[in-house]
Amino acid sequence: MSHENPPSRKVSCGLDFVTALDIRQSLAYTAENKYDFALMPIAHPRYKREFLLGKAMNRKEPFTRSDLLLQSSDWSTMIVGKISPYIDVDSEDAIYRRQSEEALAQEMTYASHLNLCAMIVPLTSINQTNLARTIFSKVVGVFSYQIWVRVPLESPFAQALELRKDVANKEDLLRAKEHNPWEWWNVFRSICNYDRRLGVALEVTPDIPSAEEITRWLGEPVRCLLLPTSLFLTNKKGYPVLSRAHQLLCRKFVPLGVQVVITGSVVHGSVQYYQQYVDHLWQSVRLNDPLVGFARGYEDFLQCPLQPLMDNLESQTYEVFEKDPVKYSEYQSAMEKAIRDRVPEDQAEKKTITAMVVGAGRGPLVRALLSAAEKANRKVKVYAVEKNPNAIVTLLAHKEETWHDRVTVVSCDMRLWDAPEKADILVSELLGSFGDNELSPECLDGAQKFLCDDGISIPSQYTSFICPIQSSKLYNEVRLSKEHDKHPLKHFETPYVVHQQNKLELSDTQALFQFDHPNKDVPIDNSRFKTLQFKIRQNGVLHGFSGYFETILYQDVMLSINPATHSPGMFSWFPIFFPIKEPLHLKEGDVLEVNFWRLNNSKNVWYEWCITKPVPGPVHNPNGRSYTIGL
Amino acid sequence: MSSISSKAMADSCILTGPRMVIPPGPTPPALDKHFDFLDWSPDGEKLLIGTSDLTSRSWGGSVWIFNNVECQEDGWSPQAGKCLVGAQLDCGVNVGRFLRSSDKFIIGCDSGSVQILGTKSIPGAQETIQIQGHASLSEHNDVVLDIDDLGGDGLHFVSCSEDKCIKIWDLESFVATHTFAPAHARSVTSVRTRPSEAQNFASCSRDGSALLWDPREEFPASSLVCSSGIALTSLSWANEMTVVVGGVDGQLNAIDIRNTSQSQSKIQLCKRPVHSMKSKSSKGGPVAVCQDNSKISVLDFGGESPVEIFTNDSHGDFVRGLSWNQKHASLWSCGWDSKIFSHHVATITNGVA
Repeated sequence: MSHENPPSRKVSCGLDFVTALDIRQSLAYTAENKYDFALMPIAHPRYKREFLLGKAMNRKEPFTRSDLLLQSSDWSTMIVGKISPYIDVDSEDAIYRRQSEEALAQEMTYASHLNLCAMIVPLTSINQTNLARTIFSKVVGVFSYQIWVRVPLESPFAQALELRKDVANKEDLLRAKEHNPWEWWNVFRSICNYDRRLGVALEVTPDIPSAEEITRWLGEPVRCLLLPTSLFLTNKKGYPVLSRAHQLLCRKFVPLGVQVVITGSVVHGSVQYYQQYVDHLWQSVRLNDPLVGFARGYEDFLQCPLQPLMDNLESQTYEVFEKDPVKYSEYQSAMEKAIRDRVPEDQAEKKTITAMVVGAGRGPLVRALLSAAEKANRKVKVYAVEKNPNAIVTLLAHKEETWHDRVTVVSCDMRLWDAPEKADILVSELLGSFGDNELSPECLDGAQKFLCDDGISIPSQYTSFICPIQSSKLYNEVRLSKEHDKHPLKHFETPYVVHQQNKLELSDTQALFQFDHPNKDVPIDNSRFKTLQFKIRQNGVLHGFSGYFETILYQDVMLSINPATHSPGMFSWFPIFFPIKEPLHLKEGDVLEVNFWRLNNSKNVWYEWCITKPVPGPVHNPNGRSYTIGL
Repeated sequence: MSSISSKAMADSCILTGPRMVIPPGPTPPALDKHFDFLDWSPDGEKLLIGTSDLTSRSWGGSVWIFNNVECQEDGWSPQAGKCLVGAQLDCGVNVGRFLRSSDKFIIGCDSGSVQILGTKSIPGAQETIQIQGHASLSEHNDVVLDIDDLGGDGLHFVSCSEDKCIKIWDLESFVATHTFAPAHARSVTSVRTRPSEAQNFASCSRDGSALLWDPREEFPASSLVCSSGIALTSLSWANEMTVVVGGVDGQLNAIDIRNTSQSQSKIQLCKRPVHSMKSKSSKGGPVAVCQDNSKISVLDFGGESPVEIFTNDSHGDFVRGLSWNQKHASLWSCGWDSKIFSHHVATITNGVA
């Protein structure tokens, strides 16, 4: 087997200009030094205008340079605009506020005229409500560009405080909410109703906050990292490099596809060295996550869960899942153990056991079962039961070419099949991302009638897990999937299968529903209700719940997509995501209480979920009005 | 050809990247239209003018030196041809001042660089004067907003910038001996040395606070004005114990540094941001003020409460620069109307001439 290098990302790197003598030359300079784009002021950073009264209102000159200086394609692809640094629409002085509002409107309108792709707006405190309202009114209006909200990792107030001799309680001051830049951003974007055109331009500071704070930023729509040149150290050869801690920090953001902007005066010989270093750093991050190669392009992309019971899977879907290198080898080792347990060594020659693969698909489990029997050196008679007539074609072809008499192919729904004999081992792969969400319990309850009383089910047990998460990215994706002809809340009451990149876990993952097979309960009841309480680790915003599962195939052979116990290299399942209608602001130490139900009627199974602490909320998906799984 | 071969650049190979320092060539053909500062030499014989172009194709700047005899008093539009010498810069130039002699000066640029320049006579058939660069110090990361002498020995100066930092520079070695990064939570709009206690200086910022600094101490900063919702944009010393601070609301506060918690004397000017203030002498005295409008005021803080002793509204656009001519006891101003005015301010109040 050939080992390809894991994929890496090419960095998109921009350069920050305070002013530019000649904008065309500056762009050429940007490109010559291998940068992809430039941050440029819309108007000269010192050129203040008078909008209300006085002689200066009558200026005859334009307020900034002409749009004719660049081709429109350069404006729209190479330039991110900066607003003037003196603009303060939240000033307590009413006149200065008015002037600032006018200046901001003038610059934002001109940026729209230039068709820039983004504008960068700095946040300097928690109290910028008017700025938020103004920006929001622009993005919900006609302007099409993105807004990059510039936020420092650490508050400059906190850094400046270190120089003060007249402040005794520095530590206490710094713990205050208004000195935490994430809180600035949180207030700002909440006012802007989580608009997806708002992103974060995170300015990396010399001091790095705690790991929890960084993880919280990883759950935000960070579009770009601003790296000040003063952050770079000089290596032995005189080139700029980042400290280990800053390298680690940057590496965490690489998988999110963030861009980089170099800002500050050049103090290491050539501006190109910074780009080269950052490019090198990005290339060195091997995206080792086994999902990555397979999941590229699926990051934070919402998919509806498969409904293999109701719908027949397509050939392509089977092909993707059959490629999983881990899943089938684990199944095979579970089956080998089970076979050895059913047939003692001394009976290997005489005894033949019966194994049934229910939901055989195109036969990967049948193949694994035959290999397991061969390895264990036992005789096994195999039934392959499959309801999808298209997959039956493949199974029959396999039988004719390789399996011959060892396998009996049955084209039937396992719940309806009248088996000619009872099985020693019943094998299935009916689990979804949330364990039971593809109705494995109902299917196996139906199939267990042809399992011996002491027979083995593989899997023998599975458990779903949930974790409260912050991810404004996913929240926005969900919000956008609103469909016109459906219930207005449908998109918030549907679980999604999604490869979650941009998220933060707000607490520890906890187990939810457990199912055991064979199920000896009388009567069998697959409905469930459980209340879980989560202790919140740090201030954050709840956008929904990530769901995972663990399964015991047989004895100690397990499969898991729970991050804490994830089977290495397995890519068959993305986590599931249960959204909530309204983001919920949570504080460190809060207890979050959530209730989950698994309910059913004769036709459908569905989940309902509801938050009861710290603030009670409505039940999501009552009676399965928005989402059900068909039996 | 005069060219700025910067000592600092040669020594440490420091180049500015996005802010290329183009060495000034011969005297440019005209002044730029936005006059940002002016400064009289200590002997009152030479006038330094800094001009920028902030709105057209090329956002450049230039510095100029005129002889006293060429300067006109009322609505003067200086002609390039009449200057002693001028030099082109690759960016706007915001602040500048002579360094205790009439042949050496310092400027703060929009690129973040601080440049130390001088004039030199070239003997020949016709004696000519050139501007020479002594150093280009490119350590600020954003527009330089103010510069002042420090230490009283003429060997140190202090600068502040939009980048939130304050730097103290050694004029002999051209290195920053102190960097306070960040000194404030937002841009530092002004730094001014305290009269007679030249190691101390005051700073103010858009974060709404003003600080008093003593760089010799481990914790060098203490509060003069606490943060508020009004950005502070300018300051000046009225005497060695009183600093006057102005904000975007056009209000001036006189603060006694011995008792910053006590109520301060205040005066409300036009409701426009205070742009720059200049005390009459290095010891303090009446304070000239310009704002984001066309007016000039002079205020006396010597009495019980501040008194406006002079106003003028001759300029046609924002007044940007102010300078007192010590020899002729006059106040000079320049602005974005490309004009220079001189003002005769009668300042005989409270016995201070």
